[in-house]
Amino acid sequence: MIGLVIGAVVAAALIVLRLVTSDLDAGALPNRMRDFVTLATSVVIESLPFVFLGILISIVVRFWVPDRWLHRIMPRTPWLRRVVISLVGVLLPVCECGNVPLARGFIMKGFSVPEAMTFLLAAPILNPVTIVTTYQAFGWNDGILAGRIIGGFVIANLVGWVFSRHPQPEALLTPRFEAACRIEAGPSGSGSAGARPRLRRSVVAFAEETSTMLPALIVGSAIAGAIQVGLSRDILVALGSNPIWSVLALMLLAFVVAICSNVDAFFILAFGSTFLPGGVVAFLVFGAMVDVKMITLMRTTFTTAALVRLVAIVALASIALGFGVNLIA
Amino acid sequence: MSTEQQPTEQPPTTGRPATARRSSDQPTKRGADRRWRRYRRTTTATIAALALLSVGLGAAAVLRGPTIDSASINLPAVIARDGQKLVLHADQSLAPITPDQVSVSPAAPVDVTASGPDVTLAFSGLLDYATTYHVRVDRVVGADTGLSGSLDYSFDTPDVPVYTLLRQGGAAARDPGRPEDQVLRSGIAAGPDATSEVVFEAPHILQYAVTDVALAAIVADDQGNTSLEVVPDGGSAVTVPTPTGARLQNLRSSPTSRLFGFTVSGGADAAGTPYQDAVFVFDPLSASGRADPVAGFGGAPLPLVDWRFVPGTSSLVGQGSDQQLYLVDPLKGGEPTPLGRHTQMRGFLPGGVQLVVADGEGESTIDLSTGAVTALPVFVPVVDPKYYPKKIVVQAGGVTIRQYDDVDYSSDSPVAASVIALADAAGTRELYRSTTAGSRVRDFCVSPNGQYLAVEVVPAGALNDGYALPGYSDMSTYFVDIASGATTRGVAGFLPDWCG
Repeated sequence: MIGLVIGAVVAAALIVLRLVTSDLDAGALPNRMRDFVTLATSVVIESLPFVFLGILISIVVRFWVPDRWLHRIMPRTPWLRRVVISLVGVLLPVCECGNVPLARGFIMKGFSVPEAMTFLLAAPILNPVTIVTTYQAFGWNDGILAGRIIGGFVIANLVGWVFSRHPQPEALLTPRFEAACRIEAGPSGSGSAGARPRLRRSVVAFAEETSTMLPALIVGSAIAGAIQVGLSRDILVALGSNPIWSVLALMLLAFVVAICSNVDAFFILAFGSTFLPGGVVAFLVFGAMVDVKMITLMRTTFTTAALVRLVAIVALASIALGFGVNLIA
Repeated sequence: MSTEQQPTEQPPTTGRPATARRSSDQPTKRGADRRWRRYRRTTTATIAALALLSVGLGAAAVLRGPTIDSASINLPAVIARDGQKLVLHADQSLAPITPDQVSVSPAAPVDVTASGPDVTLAFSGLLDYATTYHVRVDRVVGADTGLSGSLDYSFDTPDVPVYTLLRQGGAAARDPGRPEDQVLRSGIAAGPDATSEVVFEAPHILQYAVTDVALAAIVADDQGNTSLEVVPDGGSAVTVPTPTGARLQNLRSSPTSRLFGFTVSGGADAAGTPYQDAVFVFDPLSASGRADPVAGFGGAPLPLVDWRFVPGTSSLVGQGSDQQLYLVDPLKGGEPTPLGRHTQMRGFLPGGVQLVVADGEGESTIDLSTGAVTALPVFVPVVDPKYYPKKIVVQAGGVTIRQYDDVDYSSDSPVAASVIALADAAGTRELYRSTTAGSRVRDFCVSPNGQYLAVEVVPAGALNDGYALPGYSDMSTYFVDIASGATTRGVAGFLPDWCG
């Protein structure tokens, strides 16, 4: 109820702001402020459809797909389960921000935390939309497409394996999300929530996930916009022809621009002639798994310690991948 | 939330009775500690391994010195126009490059410039067809790292199709039931056993010309009346309207502007305008479907006894009956530009717009882009004095290629053999000599890139086919590599499109 009131107040404030400022020309705001608003809004607009799509698919997985069906089709061997789940993105072509609610749905459905992490990291890359757009942008040139697909698969499974060694994987989750999972499962496994009709539970879950995801998305987008305004792209481009700095600079760019994996290939295509292919591959792999917006979204689910380890492994693996591609390309 | 069944990686920690848990607290705690230690070791080892791998790969990438990242070159252009560039893009900025660091194999003259990570090689001549070129830049030094390396790049130039005209029937050209004449397409790089492809057939083909969008042919009916047929690529032949009763000849094409040109003599158009040696041009991509006369002074048709398209342009250069040369662009219109009087047009130097002309005092070139005339001293082949000199082709640097016939006037067939000789600074060498007694060369020409000689050979005892532009039975065209003098391939027919 409080959230509803806050939302209504914010919406009313925005309407009033629009009415008050409608007569002002475009130059009323400083250039950097306009850039910030444009960049932050563009990230929100670009991500929003995928977030809603992810939430909807997550709800379908949680409440409408039978448990037996999901678990029957999955292998029993842990590493093989992670391999299979890292390819599930082929069936669910949602970009990385939409995969966070979906990964949460998987955990609530009974998948282990390492499996959900594997899916979360692999699905933005190993899905048909991302593969096709990357192919359209780069074809088979310099091993960029192959590097992205193979690198994404290996890194996601590496992270899944490392976290599968955790003695209490549920400790990787935030207390709030773990509590939600316990409520979902219930004391007997059917769950207290199980007493409610599925449709009602779906609506409630949609509201809960939306209220969790959207603030994180907006905060992440604002941070992305602010960093882009503050960090000169000219500096990034100047570093492009160095085998080391090309990788590090484009990873930093990927972290900052927080662009969806479905379209990031076309974004970086403009840098393709300036930067070495290893940098492009690192951008396409690292940015699809970790960026400033994803950090805030993942923080709704995983503890800070878990995120630090995840980001460290993904970043180092992406660096190694980028350096390796620069070496052989 | 359920716990994954992972017997090796993640043993279940719940579901045991409370009493049993109490009785084994110590071992369970030890087991939990062991699992925590294993997790921390795994995480630390993974991060350390990835860090070491990154450092190793990064060091290897940096310490190997500059390498080539990408390259760009227009392959169709390097065999058609000189001055084409190959740009090698290194993975880092480079210290200055000197020409002695650059090698090209097979050898080709290049000008070298370098800027930032790019090394630009401008080829000052045309490259060979269907050839693999290896380019190497040695001792390149990274401007920032100081490390040295080399840039290696290879590329394959494309093969080109060459067309020939196969006349059927020899002396029986007008016999009913004879096979039709054919225009054949062959590849230069194809082996000697490769077959040619028929691209056009008609009962009587006098001449033909090709562009990448259409083929045109002057065809004759049984009464000898000529007409122009044009076959668009992938389409069927259409007859282009020409002045009634006119004789069409000297068909040529401009690959660049995709125009066809021909001369019209005799006859008149619908308005009764007569034509004599008037050049007409036809654009197969134009909606008009009509051939238009090239306008001369005052808009009147321009009569030319010899003419050809200027390579790489839509202009044509021609010679009037008074030996005056003219330059005119039929697409842009305007008055012809006089270029002065010269005895003969020899042709263009490969790859440019340098027209070679001959006068009593020798050869010279006219740069059609500037109009500048430059004397061109030529090398004269030294051959048996009894040989009768015939066609001459002059190449860059005054290199001369000339046909000679060994004539025996006491014989019924006076030409006993033909020889084609090349003279350059190194002296004279034979490029072609008739291999069988009585066979002779009808004509020869040089490929557009200057690499090959196309030699039209009339076999001994061949019969004249009686066409206005005569051919002979069983003619063949041989391709001779000018550099080595080796005959690489022979195809049926004559009038290769290079000679157009």
